[in-house]
Amino acid sequence: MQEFQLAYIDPGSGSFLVQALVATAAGLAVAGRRYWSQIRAFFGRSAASEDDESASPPQ
Amino acid sequence: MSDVLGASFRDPSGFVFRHEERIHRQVNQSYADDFEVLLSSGLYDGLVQKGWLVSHAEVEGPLSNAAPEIHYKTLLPDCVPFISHPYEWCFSQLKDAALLTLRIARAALAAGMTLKDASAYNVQFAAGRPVFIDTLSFERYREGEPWVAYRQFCQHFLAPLALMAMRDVRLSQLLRVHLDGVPLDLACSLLPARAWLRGGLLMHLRIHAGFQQRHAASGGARRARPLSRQAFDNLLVSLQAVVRKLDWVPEDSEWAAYTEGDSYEADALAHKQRLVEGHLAEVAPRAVWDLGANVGVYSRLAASADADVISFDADPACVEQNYRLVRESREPRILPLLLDLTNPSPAIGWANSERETIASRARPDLVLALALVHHLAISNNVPLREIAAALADLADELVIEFVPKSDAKVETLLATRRDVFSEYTAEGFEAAFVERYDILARDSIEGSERTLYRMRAKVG
Repeated sequence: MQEFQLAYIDPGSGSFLVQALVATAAGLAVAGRRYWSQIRAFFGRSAASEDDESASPPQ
Repeated sequence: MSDVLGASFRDPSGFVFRHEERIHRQVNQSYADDFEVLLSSGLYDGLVQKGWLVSHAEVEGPLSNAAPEIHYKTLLPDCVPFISHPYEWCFSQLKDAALLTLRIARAALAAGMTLKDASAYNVQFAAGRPVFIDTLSFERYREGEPWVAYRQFCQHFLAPLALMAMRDVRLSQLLRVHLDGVPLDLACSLLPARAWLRGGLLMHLRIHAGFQQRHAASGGARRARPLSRQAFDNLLVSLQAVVRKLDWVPEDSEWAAYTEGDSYEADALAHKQRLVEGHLAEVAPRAVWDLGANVGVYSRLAASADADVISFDADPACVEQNYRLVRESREPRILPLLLDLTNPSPAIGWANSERETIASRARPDLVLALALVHHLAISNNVPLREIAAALADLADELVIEFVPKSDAKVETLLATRRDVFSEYTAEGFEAAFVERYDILARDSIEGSERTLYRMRAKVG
């Protein structure tokens, strides 16, 4: 457990706690999508476009 | 006297105020460190360059009399022509605003910052596209910290978008009641069961709402499991994916399918367009409000006459189609907004001054009210005199079309009800409007029974 600074809006206790769970599931989904598009690419289908204009993922 | 605007009291980092007719933003000393990181990290330049964040100039001194003792800097942000609110947006406008917020959140994370709020009110539409206007929303990212604004993002964007896409597009109006976004338990009780077949909605709305309920009073926001930076980014990527997948395609609603083809012969339509173009050329307005704009045919005439146009309609399908046109053809001068003229956006929020009424936010030079008056006078029983008064309060110049009872559209409106509209004649219309207006032009539209007027409001 880590102690965090408080924000000016109430982040909501449940909303804070749920993020570890949601982010884990999201990580699996992201990885799953990546492998799926690699499999598709291997069979000659165009990879699903990531359509991502944002900066590269953080280090 | 306070010059501070009613919408900006929540965040102690600074506030927005009016000075010499321009909107300014004071940055308070408490926000100085975060503000300097926003600039020095290159995040500000990068976001402005992409057109995602409103640019600003720094100006001298504390110009507001509200809190000069905690003043750090004063910013003069680039002008946003008209402030609109999320309950006035169509589905795709809210979706584009959500995606912009997430793109900015990811770019911020990559630059070592995070969004400390994710309010839909931080996004505005300028030049046909969404832009983030709250320069003080960024703070330094602290390793391990979850996203403070996750709940707000889900309430302001994800919940209403899911409700609009999967239940009913009219549920966007929940945002008019719930200023801090749709409560997640409410969204969950309204969404259809098939929503939970989508993993993203299941996690971000349903499981999220369950955690909120379970930990309502636990103080868990102070102590939680740390979230790695990669996990934080995964959370944002997942939100991007679930928002992108939500879509709403308008069905043929009552008026969206209605191009004027069925109520107008082609040459009558051409004549009406020529007349409107003539009036626009004569008035040369800089700002036009097109009331009852449908999908914006006449808004586009006004835009090509060099006016900035707000294209209002009460039908979400019309606004959606209009916005998609604006987006696809890159029409920077047109802003489509959802507005029911019979119940226009009121002043809401704290002390009724957080969000202004639609009429108090700007004053156009000219109002277009084409094929509108019968909807107000007959469908909604508003006396013609009241319509004249309301329009005269909006703008000085008016181009208005009178649609008589003999017109097929009005016959349809009257088919199932008693005709209690004895004043609804061309004479009655003019008598009501001359109380507030001088009639400058009156033209019968060839091949129809309708009349187009140009009027100017009487002074005083």
